[in-house]
Amino acid sequence: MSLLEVADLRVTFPTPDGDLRAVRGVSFEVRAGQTLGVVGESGSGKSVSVQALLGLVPGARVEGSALFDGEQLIGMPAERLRRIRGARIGMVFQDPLSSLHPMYSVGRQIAEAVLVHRRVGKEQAWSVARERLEQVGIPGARARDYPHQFSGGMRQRVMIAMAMALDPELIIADEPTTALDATVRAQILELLGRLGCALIVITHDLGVIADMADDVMVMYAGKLVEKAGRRALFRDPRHPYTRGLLNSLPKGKERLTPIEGRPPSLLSPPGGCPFHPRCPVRIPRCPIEEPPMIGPEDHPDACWLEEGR
Amino acid sequence: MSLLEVSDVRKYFPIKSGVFFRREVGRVHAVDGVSLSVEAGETLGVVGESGCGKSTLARCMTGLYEVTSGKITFDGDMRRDVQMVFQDPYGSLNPRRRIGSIIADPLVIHREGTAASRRERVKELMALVGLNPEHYNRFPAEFSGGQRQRVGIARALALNPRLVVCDEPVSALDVSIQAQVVNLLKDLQTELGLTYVFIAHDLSVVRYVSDRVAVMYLGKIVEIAPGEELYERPRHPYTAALLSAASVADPDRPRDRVVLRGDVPSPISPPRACRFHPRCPKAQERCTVEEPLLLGDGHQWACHFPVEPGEHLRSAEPGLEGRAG
Repeated sequence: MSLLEVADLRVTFPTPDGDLRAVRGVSFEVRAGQTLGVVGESGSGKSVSVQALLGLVPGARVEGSALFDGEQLIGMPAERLRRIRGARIGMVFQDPLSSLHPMYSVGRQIAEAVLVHRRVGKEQAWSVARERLEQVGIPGARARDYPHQFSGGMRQRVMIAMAMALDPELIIADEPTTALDATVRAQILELLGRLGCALIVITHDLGVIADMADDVMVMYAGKLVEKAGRRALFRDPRHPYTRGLLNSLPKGKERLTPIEGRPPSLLSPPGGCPFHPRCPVRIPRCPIEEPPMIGPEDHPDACWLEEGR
Repeated sequence: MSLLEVSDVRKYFPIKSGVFFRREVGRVHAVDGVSLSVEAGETLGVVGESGCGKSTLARCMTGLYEVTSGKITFDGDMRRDVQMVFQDPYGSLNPRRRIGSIIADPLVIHREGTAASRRERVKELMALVGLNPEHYNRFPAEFSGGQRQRVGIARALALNPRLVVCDEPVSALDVSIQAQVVNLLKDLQTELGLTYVFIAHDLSVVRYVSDRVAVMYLGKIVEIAPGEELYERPRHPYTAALLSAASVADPDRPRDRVVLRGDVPSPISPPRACRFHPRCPKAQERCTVEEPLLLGDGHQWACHFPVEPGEHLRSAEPGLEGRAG
């Protein structure tokens, strides 16, 4: 059984200009111990689709189903959801400085998470905090230091230590390396790769996906357009958007082939396939009818051309 | 003669303290003794991590910063012939002004032509960078990130410059849009015979656009070489580590990342001698006492114990680290 099973997830933000449909019917699953990579450009809905499951998008209407270890997360009372979020699902965000409290020592912040969710004494909570810091390569003695005393890469390690504090079954990392420099990024990727629990990595960086994902889902304009194993995605990309994305990356000196145009507005997304206005291989059917996910179960994509294959 | 010559340039920023007297208590050594030349028609790429001084160097080259010491010589009128494209397509355009008037700024400042002829020139520039000239009267908010970057490029080209310094021109853009802007810059270079200094932290983009590449670390150039040479045969251990850490969208690439210890030290009090020695997997006694000079012909590096071809650098132990930052 899957650890997390999401079906037909929809996230809508009501705005004065009408409903902004950030996520429009996305289904995926995460198996225990596996890493799922979610890739897409800004506005693709990649972050919102995961954050919505945990009740982290205030003001949005969230519909669909999300079973975590058999329990329905959508519509779950806030208090109950908060318990799961702290103890069984950990989170690592892009910008550690805004996710850490500046006035508390990092050890205290980790220890407090332990105290809230476990029946342990203060001493024991602190020893968990020190142990977790050492696991991410920070000396336990630095537990009494404050976030500003750490560099960017070290803060991201603190975030990982905090996410790991209660031995969660799933960690969600939202653009964990985007704010970091290349050499520090390498350290964090090593660390995330050693975690052992299930991991959802949300990123725009195809290099991160190529490095660590087991399965990958590609999102465009609030929709899932392709799902595949890591190697299959890079070796045999099927959806024209995925192909376009991979061709946009420099490979030596070959001239780049960008995707023409730009992503659609989510207030009034185009009819039919959301990618059709930019698609180099569209057929008359594309603007009219929206393609479902078609093709083999381990590598489906949402493109009408798949029918002819 | 080279188009632009940078010799032993230093740029320090004072750190002041106190309310009344504003004593200088320290200095940020942003650029610390950089020499290089830019030849007409080439693209010189500059790579490095945040705080290495690449943007400060760019601003010194365009004359936006006065250098603390050293000399920058340009074969021409620097104020006209050297222009800059900035990273942030949101922060670098005044949101209250119309696109047409933003692009016309350099023309107005240099008192070029009449209002009518300037308007014609702006429309010409907009078409050149792939914008619809009819959008002359629109505001920046009506444009996407990629289009705004095109506006920034049009503004930089208004005076027919010879050298354009691009500071992270595509790093704020999505991948599919990045490729559009990079291709545009390449096409403009061929069409107008431009020379570029292209600064970025994305190594694969720099490899794609550059003829030569310089690698900076803590205010210094540690290696400079023709692009392919640098990527295929890096000699400085920092370059080798940086290349191995680069993001590559290839699941079959061998994962022999060289993981360095710690973070980049502070440029306020950089390490002595070789600045890379505290993080270097090859560092020896000599590296802590004697600063290596940037030597060589064509391919230059500043290292006492360069990486030999075929040599494998070892990663730092994943164990504990001391105080950083």
